[in-house]
Amino acid sequence: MSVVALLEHDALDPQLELAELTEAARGDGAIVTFVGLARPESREGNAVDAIVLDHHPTLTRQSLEDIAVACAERFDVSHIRVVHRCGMVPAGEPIVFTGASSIHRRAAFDAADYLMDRLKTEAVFWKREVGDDGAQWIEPTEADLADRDRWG
Amino acid sequence: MRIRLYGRLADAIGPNVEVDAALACSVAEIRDLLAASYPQAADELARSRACVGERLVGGEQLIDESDGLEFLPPVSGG
Repeated sequence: MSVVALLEHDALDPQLELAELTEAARGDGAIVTFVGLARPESREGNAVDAIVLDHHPTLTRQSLEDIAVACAERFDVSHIRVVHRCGMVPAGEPIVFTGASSIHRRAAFDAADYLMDRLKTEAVFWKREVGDDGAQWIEPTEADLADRDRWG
Repeated sequence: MRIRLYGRLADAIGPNVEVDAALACSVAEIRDLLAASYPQAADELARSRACVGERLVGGEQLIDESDGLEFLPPVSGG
């Protein structure tokens, strides 16, 4: 069992993260991953050049680890890997990688789903979309909160 | 006393702010002092959590110069 939770200040390479997880997952039967991209358009339809994620020097990484550990305890998974960008992420670039491996696929699917629902609402970031119209602070939507609440 | 701010608070006030507070005053008193000095951030301050040494603290917590008080607005998630 391994749980990896990293805060990435520079570019995030999903292929590299998958390779790390695959290496750890020898003996498992399934890997499920999710890659979140910085959207080029806001919910209101405005063009977004970048997403800027402010973070706390200690609490942000700790929140990633807390969520990853809770996931590992909840599901029958072997390895968890969470890597989250901070700082300025240009539109179209990866902002988060989550992955879970398990002996059978269902646990890995559930774990990846759970990780993202909690990260989207509880990870310690303060996020804004930056575009021609200036910067717009973002908070979790009702749908994000409802998704998280599915897990009790 | 130097206070660290994040998110919308940092946007409205700045990432660091000096407050001329008495020694051993409470978090609530510092919050009120900041809200009076920066009324544009009063609503955001009201819904922010106070943090000292990576621990969330209540309004009654007494603070002195060396504690490193921070105010954290509601997080956006990742």
